[in-house]
Amino acid sequence: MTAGLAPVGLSLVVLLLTGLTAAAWNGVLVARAVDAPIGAGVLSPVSETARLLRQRRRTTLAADRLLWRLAGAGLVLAPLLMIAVVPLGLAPVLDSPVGVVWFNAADVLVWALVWLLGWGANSVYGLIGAYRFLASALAYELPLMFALTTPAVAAGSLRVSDIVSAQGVWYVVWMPVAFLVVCLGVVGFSVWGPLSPAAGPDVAGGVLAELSGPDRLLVQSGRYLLLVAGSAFAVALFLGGAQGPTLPGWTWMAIKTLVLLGVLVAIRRRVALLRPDRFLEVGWLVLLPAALVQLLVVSVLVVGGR
Amino acid sequence: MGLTDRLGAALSGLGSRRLHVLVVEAPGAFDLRVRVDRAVTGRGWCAALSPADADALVVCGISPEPAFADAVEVVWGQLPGPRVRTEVSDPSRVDAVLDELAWSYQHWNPAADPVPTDHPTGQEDGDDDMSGMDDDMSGDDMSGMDGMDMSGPGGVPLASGAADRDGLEMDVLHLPLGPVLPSWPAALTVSCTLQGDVIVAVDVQLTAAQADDEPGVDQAQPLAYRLDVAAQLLDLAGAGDLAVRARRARNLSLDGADPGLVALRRRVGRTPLLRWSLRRVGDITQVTAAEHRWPKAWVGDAYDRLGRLLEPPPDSSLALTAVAAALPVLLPGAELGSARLTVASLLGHPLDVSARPSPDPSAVSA
Repeated sequence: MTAGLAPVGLSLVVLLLTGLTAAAWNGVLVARAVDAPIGAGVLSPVSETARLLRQRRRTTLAADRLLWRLAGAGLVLAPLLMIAVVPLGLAPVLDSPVGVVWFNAADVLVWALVWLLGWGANSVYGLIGAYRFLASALAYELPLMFALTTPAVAAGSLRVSDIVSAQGVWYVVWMPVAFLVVCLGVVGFSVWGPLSPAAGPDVAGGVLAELSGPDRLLVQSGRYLLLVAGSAFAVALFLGGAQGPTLPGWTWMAIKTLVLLGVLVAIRRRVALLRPDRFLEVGWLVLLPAALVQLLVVSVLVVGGR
Repeated sequence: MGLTDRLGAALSGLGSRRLHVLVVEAPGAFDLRVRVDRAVTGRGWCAALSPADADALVVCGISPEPAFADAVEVVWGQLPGPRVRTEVSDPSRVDAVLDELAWSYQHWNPAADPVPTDHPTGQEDGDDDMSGMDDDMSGDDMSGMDGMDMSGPGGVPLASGAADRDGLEMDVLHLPLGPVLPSWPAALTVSCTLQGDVIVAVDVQLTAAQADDEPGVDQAQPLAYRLDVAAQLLDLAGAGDLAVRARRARNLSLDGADPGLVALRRRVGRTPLLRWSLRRVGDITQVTAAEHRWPKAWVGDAYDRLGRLLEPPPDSSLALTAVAAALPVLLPGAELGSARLTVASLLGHPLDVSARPSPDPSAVSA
């Protein structure tokens, strides 16, 4: 099942470098918005890391430290699990016959992690942030599950490499709704942009309110790494993965992932925060029926085409 | 220097390029706080969201109230190291003070500044403004019980339960909002009682100066004040880029140039989902406004009030006492985030009170 150490090393390096690139891109966008020099924006993840590495750790009274710190570390582990099933050009680290389900399990793991991050701090703001995350997650998770199943139905397999190789025409062309729902799900489980009420400024940072130093660095990195892993998976499922002419597979994978990642990172600056109660309406009344209809259409096409 | 020293110096140099600053505004120090904000943004530093996120504490202005000084001390105790602190009272020395701040940050000595990473058990309760820690204030009547240990973990009693609006029992939590809180009016302190994230009761206090209805410095620059309030509301609503534009307009208006209100209103109108996200937040109907004699400008939800803030300023502006009087009616039943958005949207509006609706002559039945 595993194909040796090369994919493991490659996945780790790619994940970290791409996460750094995403953070730098976010820094550039912020710098452009406040008319600061672009160089400062590009350097911002490095400066932030340096600042956080110097900071002391802190804790609150009667915090559940074991679960709290485990949650922070878990937010870096979950994207590693997610990217294990994605073929980045070579064979994936874990060529599981149920790769799509594995990814879904990892993103449901994030529910527990963000919840524990807020609850473990024994802080009102953290608790409110944790509950807000659960409310948003309830809204996007079911549509996400159905949207993840759609390419699997079209390819006839849950193995991610099969889905990549079954794409003659990219799946995004005839399953756009599923692609959009998966992108929304990626933004949601990364606690990013419009779906970040759990870390919102109106609750003093929510689940991030009591974190400092290396713990904060872990959680902030985890958010970016989740974005990267989610984008890579969406590229594999809908944008043809590592397929492409002339250039080697991993180059195409890199280009497509970076483009999708750039768009997802830029959404944060453009769109306001979605309050969970409003998003719940959208998730259950709009996204879920749309995802189901998309699945129905694809299933009919697949059965009819046979 | 050894390798670790050089590494430490490199880290501190890099880190000082992006200090996170917690700017505290004493009541009546609006102008000073805006100057500090501009200087902080100009250096590429950011505003901190919570004390755990902050490296530097800058107190703008002086307040004679002991409660304010106590609040600042509690927040200072929450900052992890390396941390630096300063006070600014002279507008012309802002840049010099911030330079000193950056230097102190880089040369911070951990041995000279022992911050407890663990709170001593049971000591820090009650007055924590920004820690948001779980504490229960209703334990006063239990202090007479001997031989019964009612403490929970850490020596603080567990939260007591009470029936919430659905009749189910939920934990009661107490959270003070202010006087030290980003994007919050300076003179206001609201002690909330929460069940879950819903506010069930509030206790509003104003500092003595505002309670006497003194016109503060805010009224000297009404357009800048309203744009600043709009920027805070946009920050709380998660529209960070729009907040930056509103602050730019505020700076332009303070420098005497044209702030470009029309363009700003257009940008706000074009941002996807802002209107939808703010819909029905702090909704005030015309009937309610007339019944409580509230200003006409308050009618509507937070988005409508935001639009009115971005219009040219009126002649008279609402004092904070009127806002404080309205909060016990508006806040109970609201979710915490909505409550913060509501408070931010109520500031800076003109004084014209809604007329009481006259009785309809045709309604007299036979």
